[in-house]
Amino acid sequence: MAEKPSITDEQILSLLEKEASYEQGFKALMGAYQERLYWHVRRMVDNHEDANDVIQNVLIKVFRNIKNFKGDSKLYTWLYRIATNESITFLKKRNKKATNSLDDELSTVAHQLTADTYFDPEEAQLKLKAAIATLPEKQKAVFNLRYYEDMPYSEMANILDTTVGALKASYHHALKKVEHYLKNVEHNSL
Amino acid sequence: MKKEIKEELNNHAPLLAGMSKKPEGYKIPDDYFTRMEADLWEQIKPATKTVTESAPRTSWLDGLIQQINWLLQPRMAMQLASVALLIVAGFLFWNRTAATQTDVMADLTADEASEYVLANLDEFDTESLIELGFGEEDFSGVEAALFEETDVDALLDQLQKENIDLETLEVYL
Repeated sequence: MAEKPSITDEQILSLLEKEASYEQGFKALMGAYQERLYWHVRRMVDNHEDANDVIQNVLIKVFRNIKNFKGDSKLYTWLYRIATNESITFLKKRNKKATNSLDDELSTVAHQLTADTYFDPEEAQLKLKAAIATLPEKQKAVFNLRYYEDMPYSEMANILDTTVGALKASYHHALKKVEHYLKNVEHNSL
Repeated sequence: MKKEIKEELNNHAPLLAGMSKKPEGYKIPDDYFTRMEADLWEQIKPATKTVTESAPRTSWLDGLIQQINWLLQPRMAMQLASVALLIVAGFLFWNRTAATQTDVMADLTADEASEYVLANLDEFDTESLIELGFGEEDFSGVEAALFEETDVDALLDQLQKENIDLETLEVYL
């Protein structure tokens, strides 16, 4: 998981409560979380331009609703929940658009990955990203949080609003699908 | 935790477990995060300013003074003066019309007024006449003028000629 920010969530929230220190609070929150949230969104949508649109929406929602944040969960969990939901909503729209245009699903994934000028992977990584892109939106979020961010199931349960058992099953299933895709791609390339 | 995750990966996806997680191949524009922060602040900032403008005042007196100052701005003062002028003009016009109607009656003498009423009796209902001060005695002359004795005699002659019985006559009268 990413390093803990030097300023605590309570301190950030306290700064954001007062008008005099609002800008300072804004900067503290951005400094602590913007990169982590961006990379989470980027792994969900892959393309930088799309990730940029989604993260902007996420952060605007965060700052417009920060006063409604009750502190029932950690700030970190709340931020990730918003980012995940926005990403899933975006992916659903994008996938629907692709399906409506009658494109072949895999060629669409490949096109999306290679069309991004800010994506320059090694071959193995390209295959892995293509494999992950075939997962359903929510399973993709589960996979990314566990595989890339080493997140405990308990935290994932808070973000994705589901049970630990369901998350384990979803992650194991996702691992098998990705593994199967990688094996097939390797077999076909031989 | 990391050990647990690694074991999970080895058990379910050995090929994936053997792959390196990084670099993922993602790139971002130069100074992307710095610019994102600045851009976002521009979008968030106006909302903050609005909150500052509507911040609570220190006391009701300050609020009252602020409102008076606001009303005394040249533009507001002109608008208020225009509205006041319209109200006064409207009031004067209404009063003048009412006064004119009263004056017409005031110019007539009591006899002239009575004469007018008696000449145009059918234009007035009973309540209006009583209100104007005409009693029963005022119309005695009128009744006399309407039914002179000669007329009554002629009417009776006519009825006799037509053989009208007493009951029918009562109905006529």
